[in-house]
Amino acid sequence: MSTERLIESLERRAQPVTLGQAPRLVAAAALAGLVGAVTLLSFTLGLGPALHPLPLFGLKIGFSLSSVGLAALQLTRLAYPEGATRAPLGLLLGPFVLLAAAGAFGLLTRPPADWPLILLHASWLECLLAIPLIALAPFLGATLVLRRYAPTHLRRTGAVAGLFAGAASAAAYALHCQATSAAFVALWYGLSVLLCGLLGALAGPRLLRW
Amino acid sequence: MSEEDELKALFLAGAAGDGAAHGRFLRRAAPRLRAYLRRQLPRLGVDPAEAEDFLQETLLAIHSKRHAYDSAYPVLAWATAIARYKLIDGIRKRQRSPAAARAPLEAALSLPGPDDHASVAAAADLHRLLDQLPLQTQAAIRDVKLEGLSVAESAQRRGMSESLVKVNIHRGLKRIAELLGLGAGT
Repeated sequence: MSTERLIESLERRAQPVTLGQAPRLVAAAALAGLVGAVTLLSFTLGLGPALHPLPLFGLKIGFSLSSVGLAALQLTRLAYPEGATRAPLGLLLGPFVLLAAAGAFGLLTRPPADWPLILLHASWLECLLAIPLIALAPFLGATLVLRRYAPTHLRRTGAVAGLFAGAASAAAYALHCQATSAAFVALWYGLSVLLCGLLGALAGPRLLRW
Repeated sequence: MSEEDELKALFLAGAAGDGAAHGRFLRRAAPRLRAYLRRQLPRLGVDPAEAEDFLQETLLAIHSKRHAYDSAYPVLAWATAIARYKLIDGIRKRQRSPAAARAPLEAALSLPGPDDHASVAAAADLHRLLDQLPLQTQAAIRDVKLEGLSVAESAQRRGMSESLVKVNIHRGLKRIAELLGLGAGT
């Protein structure tokens, strides 16, 4: 078919579209992802006495929700062609740095002999498995939005979608988790969410092609 | 009004549902995108003659992803970014299946006639032969015989009926055979 014929057929199919909807859709994916993750958690591991101790709950929720927010902001840009140039990845490291600082500070207040006990508390495997598994729900939402749009840097976009989903999942998991040390939270929440980002980077080029 | 402003106005009118403006945008963007693709293809080791296929893919994507334009940015840069993506995606697809990309080519070359004649046609010759055929025929042969699409996929892509695609392939292969001096028609 000639290019002119193609243009003629596209001309006839020019239904109106709405521009600038990406931020709204990403926000909807974030909310739906959080609700989905909490629902999934409550039916599997169940909700625990999460608010105790309160400062630690604040650390978990603060880290995960700020990561969700920053990743969502980046997704609204990555959804557009060449949007990667307007989405500084470094910003996403902020919550991780603060989390690591809180963890290190927590560790330094305890004698080094206790460190292995704190960091390898029995629930580390649950954390490392539960966060990526529950992240599937918010990841699905982010993927649906991104596939509707036109990301051009699929690996990077997948990585950010993975971080977004992992962070939303971590926020939900905080409602179950009974870890009582900042160092444990820093290590295992940090690693679990990073793992989600890595899995997202691996899946991105296949899932997000258009 | 600069070219960019005019194009943006046409694009936004098109996105609002004005088909004529949409068509004018595509017609004015097409030569620029074609030039971009022609420049980039040799760098990627692809025959610039394939620019038209990539251009059509790009125009289709521009059409179906109109909602993914952010009006804060230049529309030509947006359209070029889509062309660039389609280029990279197309090349990656080929690299992923080099065998699949070669096999249909060989199938297309096994024309009726003495074997020694079939060996004459290398890929470059084939493209030169194809260029002598009517556009519809070229498109059908490229889709089905070179890219390995099914007749149905090609029909959908080109907006032709399946039987028309088949007829075009048949006529095209016959014509190629004639051009190679293999057919009975010459």
